[in-house]
Amino acid sequence: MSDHLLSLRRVSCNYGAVQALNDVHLKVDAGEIVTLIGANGAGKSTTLKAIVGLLRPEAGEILFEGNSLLRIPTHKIAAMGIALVPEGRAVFANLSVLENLEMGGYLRNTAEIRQGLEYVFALFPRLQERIKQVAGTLSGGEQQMLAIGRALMAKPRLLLLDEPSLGIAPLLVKSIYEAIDAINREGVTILVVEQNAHLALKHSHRAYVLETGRVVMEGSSRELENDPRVKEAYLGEV
Amino acid sequence: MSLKRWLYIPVILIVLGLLQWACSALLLDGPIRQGPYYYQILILAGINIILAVSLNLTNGVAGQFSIGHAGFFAVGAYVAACISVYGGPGIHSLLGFMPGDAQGAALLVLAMIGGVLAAALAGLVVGIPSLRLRGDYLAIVTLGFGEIIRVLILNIEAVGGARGFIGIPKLSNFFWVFGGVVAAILIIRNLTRSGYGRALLSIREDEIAAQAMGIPVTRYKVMAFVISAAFAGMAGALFGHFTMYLHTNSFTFVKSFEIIIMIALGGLGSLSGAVLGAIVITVLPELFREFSEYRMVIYSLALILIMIFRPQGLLGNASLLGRKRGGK
Repeated sequence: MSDHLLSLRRVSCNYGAVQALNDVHLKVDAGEIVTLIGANGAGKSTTLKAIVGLLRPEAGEILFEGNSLLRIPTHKIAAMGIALVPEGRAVFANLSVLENLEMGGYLRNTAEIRQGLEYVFALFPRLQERIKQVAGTLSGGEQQMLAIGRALMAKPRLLLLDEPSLGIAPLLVKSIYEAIDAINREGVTILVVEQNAHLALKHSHRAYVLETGRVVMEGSSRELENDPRVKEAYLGEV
Repeated sequence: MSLKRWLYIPVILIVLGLLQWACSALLLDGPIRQGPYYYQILILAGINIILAVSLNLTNGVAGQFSIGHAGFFAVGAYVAACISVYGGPGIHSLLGFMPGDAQGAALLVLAMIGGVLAAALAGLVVGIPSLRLRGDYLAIVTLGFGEIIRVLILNIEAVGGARGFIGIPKLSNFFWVFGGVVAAILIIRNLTRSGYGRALLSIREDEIAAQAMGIPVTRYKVMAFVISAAFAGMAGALFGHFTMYLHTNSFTFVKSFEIIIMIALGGLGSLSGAVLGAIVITVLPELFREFSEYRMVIYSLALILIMIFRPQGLLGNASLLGRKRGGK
């Protein structure tokens, strides 16, 4: 048994005949922000899908607090304390901001939902301003805030974020990453998948670099930021 | 649940009873020349409302596209008719101590329970394998199911086969049909407004996100589908005991599409839209009856025009019976 919060051991996943993950090792300790960086199609989102059970690995083991997640349906994995913010935000477009957040607290009781709303509104005051607005009419950045807030309503111990900067105005990206840091300071462990390597390395403790389904590098984010290979391939510096 | 809420039930029953009395006095034995014709349209509208409101739970609220509602309607109709035709004499002799009307009512209730349970069971059998999957599978499976049921019935001699099922006692009337309408509307409205209903809405909006929040997506979809099938079964039981004759021609996929048109017309996801759509689709072809052969042309034209100018449905997102509810 490991004492990591989350660990993936030799995980391989296929989409039909295409191998998406190949022998992936990964661990996340309680309290960390860990980031997965890599190009399109490297297997970053696939890793998150495998963790929450939306995709079943062909081989390997995924452990959360020492328990295997491999045979557990997605909605029960959520109940174990893992919340996912899906790629492209996936807010409930026809429901209001408040209803979205309330649905995020689906597994929580009324008092916990009230506390959760207070916490989310303190983190993202903009959501409170738009509480009655239908989620589909929010800007991209606001939708991302809503998606993160919705995930936080479940009071997760591990928060998985899939490309939180995707398609969002640069100014809002900054405030979203600041919020991610703030969430982490409250004790929530975070695993974030990101194409924007520069940003991801700046806002994380450790990082993994994925290339065509394999982990090709890992280490502390500071180290990787200064690694010449990472600089060349992902940070656009020579 | 306060006592006050339950007081609505006797009030509704008394109102329905009075309306039933008014119907027979005015339309059936009364001064209006075409009374029985109007009465029939009224009853058919009621049955269509039950069908539309129930399909709206699956297609509109939960966002799962079912195109075999007529199949569940048929299961309910035929099972209920079997109960009253084959079980009728036995039940009548068992209830010999009751007055005749009460015996009829008891028989109808039993037949309806049978029809509802059979349709719900059919919904469970169809729903469990097909709702586990995302996408168009449900549409394909339900379309197939509707046709299988129809062909199956066509070949069962005990229910008349291709000749049709005759000899069904006329037990349903305005009171029972609109009692069913009220029950369907109230139950489905309360379900939609509950936490369960909101979970269904979130499944419609984004299944993966709903799952990631801890909503047991498959179970909820199956529950919605079974409830929807059960009400279609109830509509079937009421239909058979009104027309006194059942033929598989009433249960083709054309009927399934008619119900889909009703909910699309009213505004997918809107309960009052489903009610309005059902009424429009029942009444519209009758209004154009005087144009004889051009009737269906005008009817189709009316539908096309509505879809062009109100693509979101007549009521769109609005709901007359509750607060604004998101419709797609």
